Amino acid sequence: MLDIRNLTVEFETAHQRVRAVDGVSLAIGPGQVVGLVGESGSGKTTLGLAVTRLIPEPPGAIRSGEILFKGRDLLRLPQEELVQVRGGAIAYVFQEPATSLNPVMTVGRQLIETVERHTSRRSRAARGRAVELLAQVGIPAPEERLSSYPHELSGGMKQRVMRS
Amino acid sequence: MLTYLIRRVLGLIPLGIGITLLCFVVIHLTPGDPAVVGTDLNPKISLQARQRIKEFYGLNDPLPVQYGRWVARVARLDFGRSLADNRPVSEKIAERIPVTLTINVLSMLLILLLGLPIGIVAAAKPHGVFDHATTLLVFLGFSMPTFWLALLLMQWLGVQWQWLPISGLQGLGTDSWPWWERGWDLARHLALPVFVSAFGGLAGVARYMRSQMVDVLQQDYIRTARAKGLPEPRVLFDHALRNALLPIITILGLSVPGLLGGSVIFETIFAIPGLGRLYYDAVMARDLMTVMGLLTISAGLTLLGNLLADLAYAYADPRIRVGGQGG
Repeated sequence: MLDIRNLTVEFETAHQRVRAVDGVSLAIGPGQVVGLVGESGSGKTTLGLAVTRLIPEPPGAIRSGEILFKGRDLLRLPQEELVQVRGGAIAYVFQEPATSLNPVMTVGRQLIETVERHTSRRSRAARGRAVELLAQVGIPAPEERLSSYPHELSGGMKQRVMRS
Repeated sequence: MLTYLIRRVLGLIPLGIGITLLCFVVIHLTPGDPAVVGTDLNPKISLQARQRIKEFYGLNDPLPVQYGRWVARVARLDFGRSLADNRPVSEKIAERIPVTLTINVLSMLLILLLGLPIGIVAAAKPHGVFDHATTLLVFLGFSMPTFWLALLLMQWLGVQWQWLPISGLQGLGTDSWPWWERGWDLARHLALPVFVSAFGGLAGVARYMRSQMVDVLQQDYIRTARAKGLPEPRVLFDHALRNALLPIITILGLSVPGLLGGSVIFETIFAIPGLGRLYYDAVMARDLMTVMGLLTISAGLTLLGNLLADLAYAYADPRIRVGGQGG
């Protein structure tokens, strides 16, 4: 299902070139749940971000390799098709819940725009789905929480919003 | 939100008192006795006559008494009568405000309509060609003195090529023209002053917008927005712009006094009958009453600008709003 072959990612700083991911190959089959372990700074996050080309370029650059997802190479996909995959078939739960949500938008808006982007649900239906998602991750009073801003939630709650 | 508003307005009161006190003291520290300036070249005026003038305007009383009397009248929006032509100061100011306000609002619009997009586009591709070109432009804008730019443009556009009029707000004999031609005439007269007063601010806002955008685009929540599969324009103009605009609001509020100060320069250069010109003339004529009135009014406008900026900020940033209610 996901097949990464010989992926190399480099970062270019003012003085040097750092190779963060060096010729990594791995394959994940359908229904498989895997974890990637390694010491900090070993490139786990970079590898994850590279899958849907979320590495900021510059300074980063994917030097070589291919990432086959359902038979298509994500590295060669045009931008319009790539954004369809992001958040749809491949979704992220980022590490820092405190900074990963936009501080000037309500939680609801940030959830609903994702729902509207990847499903056919619009307005009320999308809103309903967002409430469902919040309820699924165990947030009390999900309906009211939609109109909260991120700073009004606790860290743990933010983490759960991110997951949904 | 309402508590926040009330707190902010109450906070203005001590500020206002401090400002009027400063205006008053500074003016009375300056050399040039108003009873002398108007009369010193007139040999027929005796010492007694001068004394009478001083008596009449209450200039012999101790300063605190003069200040108290003045503030009491200012509180009722009565700024006294001009020492130059004996007309009420409030009337002189009122007839000048529309011109200055129009020019400053227009130049503010120009700054926003050009500066913000330039900053955003430059930030979308940092260190690209467009970014470097605007950096150069901004550098020019910052380093060029307004009065010099004004004179240069007058020389080229006004004198050499005769495209635009260089002074005043109306052409000669245009009173009988139909309104659309008078409007066009006015627009042509306004073109240079508005451009000149916007130029420096434009550079600043564009630069500031760029650095804010670059900063915001590196935030985690922008990565989140991209990871959710939002198209790039949506990421730029919705998620990033909202956050990048916040500090711009503050900058705009802070630029109000700068605009008024700039008015003094370009209204004098372009011979525009606005507040800045009145201020210049009043200072030159030692017209204490008018100068103090103008100082108070512009201080008031500055406070108003800051208040509006704070309110706009509170409206745009939910974090401020809650901070105001809780604290």
